[in-house]
Amino acid sequence: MQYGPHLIQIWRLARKYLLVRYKNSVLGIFWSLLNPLILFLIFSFIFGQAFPNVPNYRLFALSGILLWNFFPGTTLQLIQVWPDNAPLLRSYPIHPLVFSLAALVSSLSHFFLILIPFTLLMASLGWSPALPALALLPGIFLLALFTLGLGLFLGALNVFFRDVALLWNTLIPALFYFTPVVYPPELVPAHLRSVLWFNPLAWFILPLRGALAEGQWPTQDQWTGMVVLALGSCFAGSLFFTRLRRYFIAFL
Amino acid sequence: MEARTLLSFQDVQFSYLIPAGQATSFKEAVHEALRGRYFIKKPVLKGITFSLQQGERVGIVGRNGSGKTTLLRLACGIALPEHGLIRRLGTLAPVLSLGAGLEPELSGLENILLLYALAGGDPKMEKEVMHSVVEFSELSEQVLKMQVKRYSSGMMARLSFGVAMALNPDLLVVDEALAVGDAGFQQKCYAAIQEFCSMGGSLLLVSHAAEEVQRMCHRVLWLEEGELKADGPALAVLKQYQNALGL
Repeated sequence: MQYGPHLIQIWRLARKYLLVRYKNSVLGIFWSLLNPLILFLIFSFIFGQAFPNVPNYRLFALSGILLWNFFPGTTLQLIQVWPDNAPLLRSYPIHPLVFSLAALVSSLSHFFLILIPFTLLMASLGWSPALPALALLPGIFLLALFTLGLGLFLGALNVFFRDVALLWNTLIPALFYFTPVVYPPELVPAHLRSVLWFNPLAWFILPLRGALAEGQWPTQDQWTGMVVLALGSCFAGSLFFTRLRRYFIAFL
Repeated sequence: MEARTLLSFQDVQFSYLIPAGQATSFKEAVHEALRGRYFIKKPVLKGITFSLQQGERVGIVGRNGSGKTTLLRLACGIALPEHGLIRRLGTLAPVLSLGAGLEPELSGLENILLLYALAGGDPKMEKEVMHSVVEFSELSEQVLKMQVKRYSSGMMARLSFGVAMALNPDLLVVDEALAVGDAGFQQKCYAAIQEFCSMGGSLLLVSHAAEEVQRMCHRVLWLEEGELKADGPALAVLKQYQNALGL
C-alpha cells in the first residue's frame, strides 16, 4: 500500500478546512479566540477570589481553558466528518480515515496558531516561559491521539444514529465541569476525588497545565497514563470503525 | 499484445444495512436495538461475476434500483463487497457525480488540485494536470480564479470531468453523471470518452439512454434485481432488455 496519495489528500483537505473556516467572516481567526476568551473572563471575574489556595487563579483558569479548548471542537468535527463529506465518500474511493486525519491536522494547527496570542495574554498575567512548557508538544500530540480514537468511535456510531452528534453537543458542558479545568482537584471532597480520575481528560489537562502554567514536568506516572489512554483509545476506536466501515455507504 | 484484465468480479455479493423501521416509538426502538434487530440486511447485488479486459467498453443497463450504481461503487472501491472478490489492475477514474468534492469557497484552480488529490492522482504530475484540465474545461483564466460557488453547475462539471480525464486512467467508470452541463459540453465529454476509447482506454458506463449505450459500448451487462440477467454483445442485450421493458 502506498501512503503518498493519502498523505497529499490529508494535506489538501486540512489546508482547505483551515482556509475555509473563516473565509467569509470579518473577524476571521479572532472568532476562535473569542470563545475561550469569554469563558476565561467569566471565570476570572466570578471565581477570581474563590480559590485562595491557587496562587494565580487567572493564569490557572486561562491555561486550563486553553488546553480544554482543543477537545470539544475536535471531537465534534470528527463526529460529523463523514456525514459532512458524504457526497465525496459516495463518489470517490477515498479512505474515510483520510477525512478524520485531515480534521485532526487542521485542529492541531489551529491549536498552535491560537497558542501564540494566548501566551501573550498569559504573559500579561505574570506567566514566564519555562522549559517544562515543551512537554506540551508531545502532550498535545497524545491528547490528539486520544481524541482521534474517541472521535472514530463516536463518528462511526453517528453515521447510523445522528443522535450521537446532538447528544455529544449537550454532554460537552457537563464534561467541562466534570474535568478540573477551572478548579483545582483538591476542591472535590477527598472521598469523591478518586471519581475524577475516571475522567480520561483529567489525565491530560492536569499534567499539561502543570507543565504550561506552573513549570512542572509531568511525572513518569502521568506520562504513562497519557500514553496508555492515547494508544488505548486509538486502538479501540479504529477497531470499532473498521468493523462498521463497510456499512457506512448506505447511511451517508 | 495480450489484453490485461482490468477489473474482475467473482461471485460478488453486497447488502445494504437499513433500519428495520418497525419501531414506532422510542421505547420500541430501544427494544429492537437491544435484541439486535434494529437493522436488517437488504441484498443489493447477488453473485455477480464478470470481467473487463483492457480496451473493452461495457455498458450497464437495468431498471431503477437494480443495483447499477452500487456495482460501479464496488468497481471503484468506494463500497466493499460483503462476499466475493473484486480485482483491479491499472488506474481507474470514477466519474460518478460531477461536482462532488468541489469546495465552493475556493477558486477553480485550487479546486483542481484538491479534486486531483482526492481522486488519488500522482502528486508529481500536478503541473501537467493543471494544464490539461484548464485546457479541457475551456474556462477563462478569470473564471478559474473565481470562487467555485459563483460557478454554474455546468462549469463545475467541466472541472470535475477534466480532472477525471487528466488522471490518465486505464478504465473510466461513468455513471449518468454527464446529464449536467449544456449540450455542447455533453458532446465534448462523449467525444473525449470516444477519443479515450479509441486510444485503447476501457469504459464502464451506466446509462438509461439506450442509444448512448449502443453508441459507446460494444458489450452490455443487464442487471435485474441485483442479479446479472444478461452479458453479451450490446445490440442483442439491449434488445432483450427493451423487450422486457415492453418497449
